[in-house]
Amino acid sequence: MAELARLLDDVRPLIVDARQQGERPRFLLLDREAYDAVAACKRVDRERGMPMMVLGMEIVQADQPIPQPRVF
Amino acid sequence: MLSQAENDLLTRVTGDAPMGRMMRRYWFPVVLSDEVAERDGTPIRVRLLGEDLVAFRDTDGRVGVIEGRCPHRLASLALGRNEECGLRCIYHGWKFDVDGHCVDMPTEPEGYGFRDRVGVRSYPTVEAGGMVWTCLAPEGEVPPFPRYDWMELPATHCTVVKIGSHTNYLQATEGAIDSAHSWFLHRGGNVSRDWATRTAVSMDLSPRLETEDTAYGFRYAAIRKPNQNPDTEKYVRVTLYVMPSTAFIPRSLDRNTEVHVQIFVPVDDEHTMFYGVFFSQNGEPVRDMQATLRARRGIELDAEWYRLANAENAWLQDRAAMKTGESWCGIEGFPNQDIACQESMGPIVDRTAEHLGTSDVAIIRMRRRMLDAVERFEAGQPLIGQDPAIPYARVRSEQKIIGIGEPWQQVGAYAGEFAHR
Repeated sequence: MAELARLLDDVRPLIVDARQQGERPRFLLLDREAYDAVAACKRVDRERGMPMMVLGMEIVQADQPIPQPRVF
Repeated sequence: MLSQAENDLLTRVTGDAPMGRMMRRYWFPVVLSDEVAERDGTPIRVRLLGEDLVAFRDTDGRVGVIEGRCPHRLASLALGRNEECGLRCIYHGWKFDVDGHCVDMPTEPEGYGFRDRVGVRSYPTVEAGGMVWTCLAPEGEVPPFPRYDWMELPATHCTVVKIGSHTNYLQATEGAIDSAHSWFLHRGGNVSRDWATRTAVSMDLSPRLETEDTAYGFRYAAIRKPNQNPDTEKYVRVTLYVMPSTAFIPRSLDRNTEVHVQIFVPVDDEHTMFYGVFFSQNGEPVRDMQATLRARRGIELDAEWYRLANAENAWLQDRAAMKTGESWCGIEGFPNQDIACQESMGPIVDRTAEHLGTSDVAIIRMRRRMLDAVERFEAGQPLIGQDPAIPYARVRSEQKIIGIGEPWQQVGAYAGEFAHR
C-alpha cells in the first residue's frame, strides 16, 4: 500500500548524496512498476503537459528491470 | 506525493478506517483541565476520531469521559444536569456516572433490572499537563500513559494553548515537522523569542536534513553551518515526532524562551484540535501564551476554540502590515499562521497533486512511518510508541552546537536513542 510513500523516502537520500558529490541530477530512473505507480498518481500533471516528477527529478522508465531507482 | 489510496489510508480516522482504529489505541487530550475545573460544572462536548463524547467533573471531583448520547432517545448528554455524582439527561432524567453506569432511570419501574443492563461507554481518563486525556481503545487494550516530565510542572510553569482547525490531523501535524516553513511563514513577529537567537547562531537557509527512527516514532535533525566557527562546528536542531501526532519542537538555546510541544488531536476527518504546550526552562513562570499567540477564547477564538479568522474572511490577513513590513505574512500568532496556510489547502489536501522537494524529509519519513504503523496494526503487531520500556519522561528535543565531526544523533538523545545505536 505504501508504495509511493516508500519510494520517496528511498529516493530522497539518492538525490541528496548525488548533490553532495557535486552532481546535479535531473532524472530519476524507475522500473516499470514504480513508473506506472507515479504515472497513475500524476494524471493531472500529464493532462497539463507537465513532466512527471518525483522530488524535482523527472522520471524515466528503465528498459530493463533495475534493482533500485537511480538518479542521473 | 502520495497515491489517492495512500492519502485516504493516512487521513481517514472515523468509522471503520484503519488509521482511526489504530489511533484509538493511543492517548489524546480532549479538554483542558480548566474547562472541567468545577465539580458539578458544565459538561463539555468532545469529539475525538469522529466519536461524540462528553467530559465532566462529578461531585467528588472525578473526571469522566463518556459517550455523548443518552442511550434512551440519544439526546446529547452535554445538555445534561451534572449533579450528585452523575450526569442526568434533561430529556427523561436518566443518569450516568463517570464509569458509564446508569444510576437512575426515573421513567421506568424499579425492580426489573433495566437500569443495570443499560449504560454508556466510558473511557479511561488521566489528568496531566493541564489537560484531560483519554483513550478509545477496547477494554484490555489501553496502552500505558506516556507521562512526560513537563506534566509534573505546576500550572504557573506549564500552560496549554488550544485552537481548533478545519483540517485533517495529518495536514496539521505535517506543519509541525516542516522546519523549512518557519524561516518564511513565521519570519519576524514579536512572539518567537527564539527567532533572534537562532539567526544569531546561524543564517544557513539550506540545512542538511537527516532522520532516525526511534521507539516512539522518529526524530530528525536540521544541520546548519554556524555563523561562527563553520569549519569546526555545526549547529544541530533536533525535532521529535511521537506517534501518532505529537511534535517536540527543538528547545531554544535561550533558556528564557518556553519549550514547546505540539499535540494534534484528530477530531474527525476534517477537523483537528491543536494543544500547544509551553513550559518553562528557566524556573520562571511562563508567559500568558494565549494572549501572546492571539488565541484567546471569546476574542480570537469562538466558544468551540475555532478561529474567528477563517476562510470566510481570508483569515483577516493584514495586507497593509505586510506592505509596511510590520508583518511578513499579515497574520498574528504563529499557530494562526500555520492554521491559515493549512486550512487554505482544503480540509484534506489532495496529495496526488503536490510536488515535494528533498527538504521535505520529515514529512516524507512521517508518512512512511505512519503507513508502516497502520500496516503493523492491521497485522496484529505491537504498535509504535507503546513499549512500556520507553522512558517518556526523558523524551526531549534539543538544539546545540557540536563539533563538526561529532554525530548529530547525540543531540537530544535523553531517552536512549543514541545508546541503542
